[in-house]
Amino acid sequence: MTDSAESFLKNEYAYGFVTPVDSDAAPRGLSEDTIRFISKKKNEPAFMLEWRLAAYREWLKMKEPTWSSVQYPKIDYQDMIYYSAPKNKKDGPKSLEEVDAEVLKTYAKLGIPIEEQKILAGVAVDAVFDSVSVATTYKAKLKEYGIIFCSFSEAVREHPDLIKKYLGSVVPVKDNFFAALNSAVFSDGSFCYIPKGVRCPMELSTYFRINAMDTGQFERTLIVADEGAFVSYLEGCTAPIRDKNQLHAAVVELVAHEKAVIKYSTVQNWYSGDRNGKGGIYNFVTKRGLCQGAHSKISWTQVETGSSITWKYPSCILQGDYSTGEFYSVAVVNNHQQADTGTKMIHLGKHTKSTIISKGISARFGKNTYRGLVKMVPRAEGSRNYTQCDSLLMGDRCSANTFPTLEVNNRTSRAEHEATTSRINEDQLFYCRQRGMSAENAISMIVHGFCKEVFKNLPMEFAVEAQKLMNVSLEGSVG
Amino acid sequence: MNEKIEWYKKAYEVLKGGRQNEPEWLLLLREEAIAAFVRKGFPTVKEESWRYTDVAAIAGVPFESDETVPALSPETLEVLKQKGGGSFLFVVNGKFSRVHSKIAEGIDVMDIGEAILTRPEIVQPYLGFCASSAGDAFYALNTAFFKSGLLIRVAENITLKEPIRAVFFTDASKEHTVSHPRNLVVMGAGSKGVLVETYVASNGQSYLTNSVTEVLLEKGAILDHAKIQTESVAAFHIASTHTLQRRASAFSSFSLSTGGRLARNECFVALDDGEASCSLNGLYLGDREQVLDQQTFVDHRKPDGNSHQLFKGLLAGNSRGVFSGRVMVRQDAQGTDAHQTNKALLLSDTAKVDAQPQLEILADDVKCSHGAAVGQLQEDALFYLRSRGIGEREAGQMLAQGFAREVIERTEIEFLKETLLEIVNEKLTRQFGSGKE
Amino acid sequence: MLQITDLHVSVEGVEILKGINLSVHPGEVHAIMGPNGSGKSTLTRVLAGHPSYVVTRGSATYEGKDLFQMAIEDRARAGVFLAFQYPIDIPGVNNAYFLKAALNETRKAQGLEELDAMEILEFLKEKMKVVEMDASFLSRPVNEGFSGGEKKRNEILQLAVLNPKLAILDETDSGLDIDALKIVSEGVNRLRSSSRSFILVTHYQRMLNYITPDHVHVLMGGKIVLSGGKDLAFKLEEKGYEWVKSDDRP
Repeated sequence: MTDSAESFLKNEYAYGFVTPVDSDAAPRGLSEDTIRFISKKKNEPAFMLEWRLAAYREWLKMKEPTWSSVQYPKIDYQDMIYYSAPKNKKDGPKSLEEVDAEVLKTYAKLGIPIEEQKILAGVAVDAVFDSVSVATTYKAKLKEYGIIFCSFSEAVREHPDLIKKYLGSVVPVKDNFFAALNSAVFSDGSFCYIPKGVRCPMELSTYFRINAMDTGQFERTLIVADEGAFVSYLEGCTAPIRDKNQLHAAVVELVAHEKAVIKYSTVQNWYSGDRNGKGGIYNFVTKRGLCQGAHSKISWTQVETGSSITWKYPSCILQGDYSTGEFYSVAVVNNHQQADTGTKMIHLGKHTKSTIISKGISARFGKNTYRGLVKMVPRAEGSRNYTQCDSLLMGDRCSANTFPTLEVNNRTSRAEHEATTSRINEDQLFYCRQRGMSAENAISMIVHGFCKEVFKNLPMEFAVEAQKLMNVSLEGSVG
Repeated sequence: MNEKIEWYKKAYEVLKGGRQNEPEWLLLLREEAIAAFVRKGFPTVKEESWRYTDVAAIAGVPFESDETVPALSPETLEVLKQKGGGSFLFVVNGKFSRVHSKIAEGIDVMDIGEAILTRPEIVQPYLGFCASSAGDAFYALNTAFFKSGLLIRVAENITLKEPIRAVFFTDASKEHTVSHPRNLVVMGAGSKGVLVETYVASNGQSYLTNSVTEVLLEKGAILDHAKIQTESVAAFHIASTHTLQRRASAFSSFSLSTGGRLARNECFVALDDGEASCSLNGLYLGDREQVLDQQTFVDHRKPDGNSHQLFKGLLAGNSRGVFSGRVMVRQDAQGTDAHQTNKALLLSDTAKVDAQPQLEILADDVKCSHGAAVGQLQEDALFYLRSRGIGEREAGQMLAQGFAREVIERTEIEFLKETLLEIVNEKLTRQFGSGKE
Repeated sequence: MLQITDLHVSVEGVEILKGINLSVHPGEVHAIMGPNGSGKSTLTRVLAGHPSYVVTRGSATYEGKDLFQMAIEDRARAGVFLAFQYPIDIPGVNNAYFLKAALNETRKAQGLEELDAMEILEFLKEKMKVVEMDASFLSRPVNEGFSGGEKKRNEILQLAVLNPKLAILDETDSGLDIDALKIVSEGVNRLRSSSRSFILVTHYQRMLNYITPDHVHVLMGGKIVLSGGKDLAFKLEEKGYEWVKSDDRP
């Protein structure tokens, strides 16, 4: 301890070494200096820097995981830029109108209603461009309710007590390789706190976006719902086309106190690489929610259509008695995409309940894996789980794996898992086409039906967008 | 190297001295096996497929072979022979005992150790051929150490009228003995037969049974197989059955595990040619401190195969039931139909159940499913039975029996059903404590 | 025979029955009618001893004994029979085995000889005529794959076999077509005797066309709000349950 404290003090001395302050990006590579640079750039208090450095030292001791089904060339963590802010940060877009027109065009193509968001009442946006949060709307209105919704950097400065209390409380630094890396270098993200008994009056939303070349994106999200609070949070991701693979290693932590409800929805459409598998995002994300209080509930809904590789398992720790965890997922892999995704439901409290619905769609050379764990410890009496995993295959070169694990350690609990894998139904296709539909439309319709159970859990605008995205991502999957 | 592993290596070297007569190819197989074992040692719970089954208790003790054939009373033999005619093959402490056996017409049975020396040409093409877990420590130990076991051959187009019953008996009067029986079953093209393996012991000391059975089904062959494991409560039992199926062959198996302190039953099936089918079923009943581990792997390699699996567990006391069932459908295996179900009931507060069904699908024209459910006796059904005047324990036992019967009904071997039910009822009676006497 | 006094029952903390009083004497047939959710099924299950229901107040005395102190099977052996609204499937257990176990347990408790397999078979075949069932039924698993009508007939068969003193029929008429309803009702009528009492719980009056009750009770909101003779059932059928609440009644 003393040693590290000493070396920490020594390093502090070296603080002045870093690159000029007005630089927009950290130098390539990762070291303690990179971390100091990031922390300094963000004007962080000392505790934050200390936390990051501790995480970095843990990360150095860890090995990149190899147990999942995904395959990718070795990542050179020294050949990456860990921090990049838009060039025009100071005079950057204060409102959505100031956002680059090209960017808005990309959004429009995807049908993301960012321009309408100001009109579309009920959607507050905290847009993260590269690493810095540039536009936060509706903040004032939320403030009336005592709701804090701001960029992570701001929260570190303005609400250090809350950050100290909750940061890393659900996903500890040492949790896994990518979580440790994120803890060391995270650039920004969102923070949200809903006070006791408050029902957040609108859907909160963040669009993440990787813009600059060769930039790893490491955002961090922390949502805390105090006793009896309710919040629905939407996360959407897009990224422009780059030849090179980019790493995205985010961490999301949710804490639900007694009787609180957090609904977290994601539509992930990072760049998936081209038809031949060139380029695309490596999406290695750790998402976990803690149902800390009795009767609390956390519900994850995800539609994963993008990224060349997805590695994520949004999970729930059901600590409070009578707490509920839900996971609804659609994962689409086309071309050379790979997805290894699923959830963990850890039943610790009595009479806890979890539901898992996972729909995987594989086309062309896509590889899709559902990986899940349902665990019921001896004291989690009277707990229930139901899991349904279905996979749809399109083409004879794609694959689908289903790897659930059930561990039931008490006699009053019940867990049930069902899974099917099959090809898209030829009779249905024929029927639709005989009635005049194009093959693509017919597939789109059938696939939508296949995913319906998941889509119905998304807020309406999101569901529409998710469906559009899925059509885009399945383009060229037949014929 | 850990001292226990060192111990096995030394024991191997000692054996090697007496193996000058063995053919080159076998010595090579054995060398590879012991090297693999020495390199990896015994599996630990860190390995995915051994996550819930801790073999530290096996790894911690050097088990030694004991080849003395105990004097068996005619009564004991009668009991072991059970009912029914056909061939009766007796393997005692891992060694095939021809004098105690009866071999019916139509099959060719030899001691595999003898066959290796006298007719290596009928063993060489098959030994180690069907096995799909060459990297596994227990498989490697068996390959390195086996001396005896059954070589069973059924010639082309022969239909056996009566079943083959093989009993593997351990006389556990000495502590820490091990047997490594190695069996090879070759079913010729178009042949048909029934094979029932039973593993039993005289109660006594702790011992390890480490058996490997390889089965080859040539084109159109049909084998109905059963494995009944009722070893003593002090036993460790690790057994793997590796089946390789040719075109349009059919394999059905039923495995019952009620014995052993730690018992692992592995069932590997490779559908190596088109239109082959298999049906794997099993039941495991644990109580006290038992760990019963059931592993299956069905590998669909070629088109139009089908596989059906149903495994059920009933766990009482402090027992643990583990099921891991892997189904792989390779790219060439279009038109595959593969289904698997695992159900387990917890009968006590401290029993544990772990289930890991796994589907790996690389072809698209398939129909595959798996299901796993862990629960307890249904409260409504208990209420229904009790409201008809049936006592609480009896009602529980009746439901548990019904649960077990569903899978027993799946076996193709009619004459065995009653025996299986008796074994199950005896164990359940103990668990529910509802036996009158 | 059965005396229910001020019975209050809760399930998962919600009070369903709010003070039931009912006397049933030997040989009587009582019909309990009421709209959905009035507590009819709760009453039948609490009498049989279903573990989900908690008696918070009141008592039920059966042949002088406190019914609520008796285990489920002890009530059954003492002659309380519940025909389930939704009979339970018991996979892997066949009807013959099930009936043999139930009958012999009951006989034993009553101090009678247990019957052997042959005797039971003869006995069952005799009883199966009552509900017009054929022999193949005995080898099928209990209720598994049975149609709705078969399940209800099976309940009446069990009633005939177990020969209870108090038979409680929970919506036995629901889901039956007219032919099955006749078979079931005739089965019940044959089993009526001066020593056996029935409680028929039903939503509709139609079963009462075949089985004439001695008393009709209307259960609403967890209480018996009205009692009368068999004519009350016709009135209910004609005017609906809303009428009970209105002033336009005797």
